[in-house]
Amino acid sequence: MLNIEGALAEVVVFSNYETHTTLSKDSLHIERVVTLKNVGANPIIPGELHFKLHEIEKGNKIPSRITGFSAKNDYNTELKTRTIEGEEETDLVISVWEPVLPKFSYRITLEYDLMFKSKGFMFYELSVPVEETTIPIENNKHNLYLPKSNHVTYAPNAVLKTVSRNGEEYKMVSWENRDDMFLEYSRLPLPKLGIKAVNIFWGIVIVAMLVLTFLIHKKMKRK
Amino acid sequence: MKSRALVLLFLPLLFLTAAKADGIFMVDINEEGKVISYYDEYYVVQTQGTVDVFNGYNASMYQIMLPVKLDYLTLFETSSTDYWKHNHFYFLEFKPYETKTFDYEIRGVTPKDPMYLNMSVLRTAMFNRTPAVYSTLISRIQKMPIEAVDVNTSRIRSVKNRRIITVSLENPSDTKYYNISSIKVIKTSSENITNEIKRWTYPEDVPYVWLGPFETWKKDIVDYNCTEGEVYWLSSEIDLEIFSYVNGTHRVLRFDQEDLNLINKTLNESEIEGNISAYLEHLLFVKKSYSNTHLLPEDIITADIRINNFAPINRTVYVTDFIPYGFKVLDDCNATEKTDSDISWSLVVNPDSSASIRYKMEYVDYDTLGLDYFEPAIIRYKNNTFYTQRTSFVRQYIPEKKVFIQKKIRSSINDEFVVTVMLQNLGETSLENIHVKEFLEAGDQFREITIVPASKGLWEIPKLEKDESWEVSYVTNDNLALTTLPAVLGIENNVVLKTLVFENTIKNEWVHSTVHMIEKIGVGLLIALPLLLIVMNRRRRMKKESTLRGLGKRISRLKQDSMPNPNDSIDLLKRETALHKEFPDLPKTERTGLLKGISSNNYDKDANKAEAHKNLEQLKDLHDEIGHDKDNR
Repeated sequence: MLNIEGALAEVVVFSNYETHTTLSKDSLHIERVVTLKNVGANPIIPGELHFKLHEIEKGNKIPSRITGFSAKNDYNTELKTRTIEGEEETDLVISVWEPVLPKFSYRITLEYDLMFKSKGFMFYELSVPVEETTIPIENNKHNLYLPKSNHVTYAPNAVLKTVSRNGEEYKMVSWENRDDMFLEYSRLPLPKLGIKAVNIFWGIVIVAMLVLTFLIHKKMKRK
Repeated sequence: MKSRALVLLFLPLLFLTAAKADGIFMVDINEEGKVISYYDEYYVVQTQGTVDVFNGYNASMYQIMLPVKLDYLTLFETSSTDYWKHNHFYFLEFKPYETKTFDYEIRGVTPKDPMYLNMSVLRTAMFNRTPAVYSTLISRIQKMPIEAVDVNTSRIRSVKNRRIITVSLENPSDTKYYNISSIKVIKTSSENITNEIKRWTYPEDVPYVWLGPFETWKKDIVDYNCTEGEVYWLSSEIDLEIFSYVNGTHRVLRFDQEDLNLINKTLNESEIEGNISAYLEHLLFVKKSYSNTHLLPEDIITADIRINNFAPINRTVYVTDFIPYGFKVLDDCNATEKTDSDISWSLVVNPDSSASIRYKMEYVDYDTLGLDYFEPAIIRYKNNTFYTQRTSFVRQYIPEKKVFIQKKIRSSINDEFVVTVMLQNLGETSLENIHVKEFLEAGDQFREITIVPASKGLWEIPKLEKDESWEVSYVTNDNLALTTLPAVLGIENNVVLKTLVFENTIKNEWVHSTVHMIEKIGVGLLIALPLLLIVMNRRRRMKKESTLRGLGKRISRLKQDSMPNPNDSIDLLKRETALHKEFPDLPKTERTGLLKGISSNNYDKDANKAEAHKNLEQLKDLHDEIGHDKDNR
C-alpha cells in the first residue's frame, strides 16, 4: 500500500541574518546581510526575495517610505532590485537567480533608508520589528547605532557598546536571536535602568511639582 | 428599422504588400554566460545576450510569434520592450527590412543539456521551431436586407424571411500563398459576442483553403431564421509559412562539477581563506584529496590527508576525518580511534617536513544517487584547529527510472503565490501510479488548481510515459509549503531529482512610537502648575482689591449718611474733652459709656446721631485695616 505521508524536510534556511540599523535625524539607515543556505539535497534558486515593510500609524497600516534601496552579492555585484509601493506596504524586491547547490550558501547585502521619526519630549522609543518569514532564521543578529549624543536608558536583553563607524562614534545596542528588541533612549545623561526611565523620571518630576505647588499655595494662603 | 452592416475583424491582422519571394525572417542571437553541469544531472544556467530580429521581406508583417521552448529555465527580457510572452516572442508589427533588438537573461536549473550541438541556450530553445504569423487577410462581410421569399417543401408552400450574408477573404499579395485553416461566421442577437445564436464554419469538405496571389475566397450564406438587429461576425485563422533562420554566436562557458571550487560563486570560501591565514600564522598547511570522486558500488578509494609543517619545531597534531554514509574503511592507517562515522589519528610532524595519512575505503552504497560531499577533516594542534577543504563526489548509481521535479513560486497579488510543479519522466520506462504531495496545512489556501487533486495538496498521476511531462499550478498564501519541495510517492526517492525556484517574503512591521502619556502629563503639569499659582495669586489679589473698593464705597456712603450736625459734633467733643479733664484716669470704655449716658440723657435728641457715632467707630476700624493691607502690598 502506498504511503502518502511523505517527508517534509527543510530546503533552505537563513544561516545568518544580520541587520545594522543607524539612527539619524529623521530616518533609519538599514543595512542587512543575509546568508541563504541550501540545507537540502537538491539545488535551489532563490528567485525573488520580497522584503515587505509597513508601518502602523494611529492603528492604520501604511507603506513605509523608503529611499536608496540597493543590494549586492558577495562579489560586490549589484543585484537587480525594484521597489513596489502598495496601498498598505512597500515591497522591496531583490532578484537572485544564482543557483545555490546543496550545502552551499549565498550572501546578500542590502541597504535602504526608512523614514522614521521618534516621538517624545525627553525619551524616545524604538521597537525593532521581528521578521516574519517562512524560511527559518538560524542566527538573527541586530545592531542598532545611536548617535553619541543619545543615552540608552532601557534596552532589555541587549548588549551596549560604544563603537566607531565611518569615523563617527556611536552607541551600539545589540540583540542576538531575540524577538523582543526594544530600546528607550534620551538626550538626558541618564544611566541604563532595569525599567523604563520615562516612568521614573516623569514620576519624580510630577510628584515634585505637585508637592512644590502645594507648599507655595499653602504659603500664599497663610499670608 | 435598424439596419446595420457590421464588419468586425477580431483576430490578428496580417497584410503583406508587394512581398519579395526571396525574403527571409532572420533571428540573430549573441549570448554569453555560463552553464554548469553537475554530473549531467543538473545543468545550472546563467546566460545573458542580445537578439536581433530582422524582417527580410519587403513587406510589413503583423503579429509575428517566435516560439521558444525553455522547459525549466526562465527567460527575462531586460530591455523593457515587452516582446517576451511566457513561451514566445511576439511582435505586433514589422516594417519591411526592419530590425528589432532586445536583451535577455536566462536563469535556472534544468535536467537536460540546454546547449544542443554547442548552440547558445536561447538558440537551442528556438531550434526547429518555425515562426508563426497568425492573421486574417482583407476580410469582408456583407449583410443584405431581410426579404420575404416563397418556400416550397414537398406539399407545403409558405413564405419565409431570409437574409443573404456574403463573406470574402482576399489575398492582397502578389507572391504569397495563404493556408486558411478555419473561417467562422457567427451570428449574435446583439453586439455582445457572447450572445451567439448560430455559427457557420468553413471549409466544410477540405482541411484548408489555399489563397494564391490576389485570389479571393467568397461565400454566400443564406440565413432563413433571421430578424432585425442581429449581428454577424467573421473570424479566420491563417497559418503563414514564412522562411526563417535562427543564427547566432555565443561565448557561453561550460563547466562541470570538477570546476566547482573555481567557478561557482556560491562557494563558501571561508574554508580556503581560513587555511591560508592559518598557514601564514602558524606555518602549518593541511590538505585532503581522494583518488576518485565518481563512485560506483564496490569501488575502492584512497583518502590522503597531508600536513605540511614549515616551522622549525616538531609538532604533534591530532587528525579527525569523517566517513560519509555508504563507505566502509578497509585500511585505517593505524588510527587511534575509529567509529562508523569518523576516524582519528595522532602523529608528530618534523620541522620543515610533511606527514601523510592515507587510508582506504570501499564504496558499498547500491541505492543512493547524486551529488554528495566528503566533509573537511579537522586537524588540532595545541589550541588551534585547522580544516581541510570540502570535496564533492557523486554516487553514480544509474537507475532505470528517473524523475525530475521542479517547483516554481511566483508572487501574485494580495500576498498570494502561484505555485507551479513540473514533473518529467527522464527514465527509460513509463511510470505508473505515482503521487505528488505538497505539504499544505489545513488553514493554507489551495485554489485555482489546474488539475483536480485527490485531496488537499495531493495529486495522482496514473501513468507518465518516457519523456512525458506533467504540470500543475495552484494559488496559495504565504505558508511553509513555499519553501519546501514536494514529495514524489510511488517511486524510489533516490531516483527523484528535485529543484526549487522560490520567492520568499520577509515582512517587517514598524510601529511608530508615540509620546508617552506620563510625558504628556508631566509636561502638562510643568506648564499648568506655575500658571495655576500665578492665576490663583492674581485672583486673590483682585478679590481683595474688589473688597477694598466695596468698602471704600460703603465708607463714603456711610460718611454721607451719618455726617453729624457740625454744632453737635463740636458740643460732643467739648464734653468729651471736659470729661477727660475731669476724670483723666477713667478708662476709655467707661468714658464712652458715660458720654453715651450723658448723650442719652442730655442729648437724646436723635437716635440717628448715636448710630452715627457707632458708624464712626467702624470707619476707624476699616481705615486701620486698609492701612494694614497697603503695608502688606
